[in-house]
Amino acid sequence: MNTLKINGTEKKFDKLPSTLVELLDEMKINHATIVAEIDGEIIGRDDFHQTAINTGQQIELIRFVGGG
Amino acid sequence: MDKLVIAGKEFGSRLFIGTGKYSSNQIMAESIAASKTDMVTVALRRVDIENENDDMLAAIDREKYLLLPNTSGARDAKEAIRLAKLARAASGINWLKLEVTPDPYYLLPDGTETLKAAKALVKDGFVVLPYINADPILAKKLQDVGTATVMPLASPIGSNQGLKTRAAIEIIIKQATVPVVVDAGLGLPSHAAEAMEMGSDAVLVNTAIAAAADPVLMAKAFKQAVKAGRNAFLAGRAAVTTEANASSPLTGFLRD
Repeated sequence: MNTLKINGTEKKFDKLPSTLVELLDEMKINHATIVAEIDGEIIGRDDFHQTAINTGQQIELIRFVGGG
Repeated sequence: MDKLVIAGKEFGSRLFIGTGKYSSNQIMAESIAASKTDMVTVALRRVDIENENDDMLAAIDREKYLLLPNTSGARDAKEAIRLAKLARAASGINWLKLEVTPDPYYLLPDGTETLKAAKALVKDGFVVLPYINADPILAKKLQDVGTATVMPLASPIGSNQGLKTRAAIEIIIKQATVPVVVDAGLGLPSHAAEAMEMGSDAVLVNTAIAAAADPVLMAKAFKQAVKAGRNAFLAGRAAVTTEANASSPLTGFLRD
């Protein structure tokens, strides 16, 4: 099964993207402004292109929003 | 020159601005500009993966304004530390407004968890600005573990009630070896001026500006109030007495 848990939601893929950049592109998320966490480990933007995606991973995609 | 210095960085303005609750990024950017602030707070949240919304950071000139990411949403030290590390990875800077607010109704900060997180984050190289209840003992413990400021609340976040904790903040200011930033609950420029007249080093304002009918004008009003309050503190207030002290001469009256 090609599934990932992204921001708390299970997502199924016909073909799993091979890297984090591919995943973000497929989801149309601008990677210049976000930070990611895969299975609890923070992935800096510089490492997005070399971070492999594997089925079953828990992925958090996070960005800055307005706040006090 | 009367400059505020936090963790070795000089600030030209003693007013810090939150970026939440603005009706648009445009109004937010104009309000920030009108406030003449040097530092703005931001929060971290999950990207809405179904609904790609626009990027608020694009509206903030990072050359001009220092970002102060907060740990809002953290309910304990562990969650705050996780958010802090994500914020550092996302922003590339190590400044942090530490807030741990387990209670959803009053959003009052948990002092025990805040102190625990502060210790770990200072050790990890963060410049920690902790949001706290106006608790002089906790403020001392935080400065002792190396936080860059202490940030006592005036009243609950977003309540606009003003300086309900005045007496406790006076004690915090007396004991402080780090800058004291009054954060949360300041609802009017007069509240901010009062905090500055007491000797607070700075104030942090969000809702009172963002939720005003004219946020840009309110940002300007807060800027003026903070400046006036600071000048009044530096000038030193005249003595308070119970009886009148005539302002006009008590000689030369037109009577026998």
